[in-house]
Amino acid sequence: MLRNSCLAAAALAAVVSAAPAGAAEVSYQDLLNAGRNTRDWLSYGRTYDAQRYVPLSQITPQNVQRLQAAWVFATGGDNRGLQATPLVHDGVIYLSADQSRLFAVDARTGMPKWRYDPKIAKDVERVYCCGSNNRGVALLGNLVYIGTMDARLVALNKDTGAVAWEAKVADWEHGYSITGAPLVVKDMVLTGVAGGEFGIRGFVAAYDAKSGAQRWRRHVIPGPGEPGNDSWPGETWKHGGGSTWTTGVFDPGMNTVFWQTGNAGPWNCQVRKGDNKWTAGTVALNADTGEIRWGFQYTPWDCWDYDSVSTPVLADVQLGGKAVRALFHYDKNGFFYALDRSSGKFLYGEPIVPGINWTKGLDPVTGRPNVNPDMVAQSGGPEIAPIIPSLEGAIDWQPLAFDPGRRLMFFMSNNWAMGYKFWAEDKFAPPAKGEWYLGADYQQYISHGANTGNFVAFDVGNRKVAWRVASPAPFWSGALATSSGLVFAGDMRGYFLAIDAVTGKVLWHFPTGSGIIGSPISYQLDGVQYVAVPSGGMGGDMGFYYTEPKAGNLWVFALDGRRPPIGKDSNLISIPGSTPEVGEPGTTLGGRVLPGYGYPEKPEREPIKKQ
Amino acid sequence: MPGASAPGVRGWIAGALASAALGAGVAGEQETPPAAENPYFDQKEALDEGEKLYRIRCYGCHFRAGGRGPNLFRSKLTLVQFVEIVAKGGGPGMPAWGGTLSGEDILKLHAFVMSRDRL
Repeated sequence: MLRNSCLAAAALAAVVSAAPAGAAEVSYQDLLNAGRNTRDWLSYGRTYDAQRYVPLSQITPQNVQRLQAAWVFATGGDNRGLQATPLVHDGVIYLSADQSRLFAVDARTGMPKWRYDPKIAKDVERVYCCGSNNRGVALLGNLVYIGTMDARLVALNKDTGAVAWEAKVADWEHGYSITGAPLVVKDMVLTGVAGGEFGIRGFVAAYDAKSGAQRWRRHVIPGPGEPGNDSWPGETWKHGGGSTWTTGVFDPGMNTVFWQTGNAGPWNCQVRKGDNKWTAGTVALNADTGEIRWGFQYTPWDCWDYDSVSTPVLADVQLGGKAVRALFHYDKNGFFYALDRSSGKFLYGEPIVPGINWTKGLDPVTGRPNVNPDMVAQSGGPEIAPIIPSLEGAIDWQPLAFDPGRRLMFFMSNNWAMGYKFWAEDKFAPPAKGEWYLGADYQQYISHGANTGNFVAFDVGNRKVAWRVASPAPFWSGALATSSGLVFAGDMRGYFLAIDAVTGKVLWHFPTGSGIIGSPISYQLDGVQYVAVPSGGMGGDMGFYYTEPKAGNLWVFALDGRRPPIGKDSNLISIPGSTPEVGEPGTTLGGRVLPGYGYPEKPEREPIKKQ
Repeated sequence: MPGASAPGVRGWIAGALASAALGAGVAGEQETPPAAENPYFDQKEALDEGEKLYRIRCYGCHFRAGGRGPNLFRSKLTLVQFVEIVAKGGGPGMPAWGGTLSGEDILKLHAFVMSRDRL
């Protein structure tokens, strides 16, 4: 941990005393009760079960045509894309952006309150597999937590942006970075790590939320002597990937955290024959110790870079006439899964994308895929193509939304394929210090037909796709559902969509000007329901294939716009036309001190003197 | 054996990397060599080393023939420009390799990508 205790304590004290009087804090109880709280959006998945379902009904299928932009906030920088789910608390939006930057913005007006830039060094970019994305932050007490591209976990005062503590989670020079939102559990803040293409060994780590001291750390690839280590030949477990680069979910009743795991490494699977536990799967962890209670692999012996990282949804539902405590997950490999989260038992897996060919099907009892050997490349052999889905995935990291009343799960799903060619085994070796560890060539095949991008509603009870919305561009956004029967998502062209949850009809759209690769949220303040969505394409892999304009904006919508009035500090006035006379004596262009517009004035800044 | 211009190029790159490490522009205070030719163009061992470096340092973005990053095998950059960008970093996404790769590494990498059309 990076901490000078005296200095940190003094800084923390200063921060606490500097907090605005009466600023509300976020308690663990608030997080437990987040489902009923429509003013705020307190965690990545909104609630611990990550349903992203908001019980708000001011905006309905009948009136959604009146939805208009209220305001937009620009994050600036070099616009490498916005993948975040913004959080809302006490009238403030916390929006993370590329390069691990963080903005606090007034949720009613879009006026900035503070910003944080960890100033990531240029050489760190060598461990970015897929852009400088950040997917969000976490809140507890008076702190907001963000992970950084150089693998630090930073806690900031949520009211001022002052750094309270920071912890070195891992050594970025060995390929580790953090792109996912942390997860607060009780009095801890949990984070995973990225780096599955650089020979890391993935883990989840828990830190004391107040001090930043590490509580526990659990590798998701078992070490020698641990159950499952024998699924790795030789020393391959040391560099086997299994990154944990998205955000987990939590079941307080079971005291269990569920975290998703990424691809096995290297991509060339011929050097690591075996199931490669627990990559490309879900692990259930004891929330207090990190102990692995169970694991389930969607793609054992992952030969296609099939990360299993879309955050799962927890729901207690009737399936096949039985009450089930389910964990739902849509996977890169093209199947939608239901597991019993109390045991990790497979319940079902349904194909969502057409033409899946890496497997001939799933075992109906265990869910284990019957791998199609024709779709497994050989070291030094020819390219195998087309493999469906591509390694870009039927879905990637994007979060799902669940309407519990309608029992519909909403998510993006893309139809595309790839070619895969494995290098000869003398062409690559385990990394010494954060080198790429792939051992494979990959070629993406994009469909330019009418339905590359799909947005899907899946009936979890009847195990059927209820409807799809197709787009010529991929979808790359998370989903949001509201109790009024609306679903929100966006496509790579930048169209933000409101969709009828029952029929799949697109009821409203708005062109945001850049690809939507973040996740929408909704909240209500002063009787006004807002819907917010980050818009900023070019973040990550999609920038390979699509050239939509770069941007980094947070768009916020409300019925009839509800544009906030210009603040009394803004100093905008209308002046009747008049032409001043040249040399008119006695006038000056100075004469007023402009109040601080936007970010607070730095105390050291000299005010403009009156003339 | 490296060509006749090798010592000049090597000296320039060593100086350039040192100035990059100090935060100056790579070419900054260094006089650009008049005819910067890569001494490794015809050296098989060096080309093999360059290929190895390409696979572990460049492939993840530049792929077989361009990907997230441009196609280096058809690069129009001069040797000097190539060294500058590799050492100091380029636009968003292109890291600064000056702290990781040596001048010799960069020369071998350059010789390799100039020696063929694709990986």
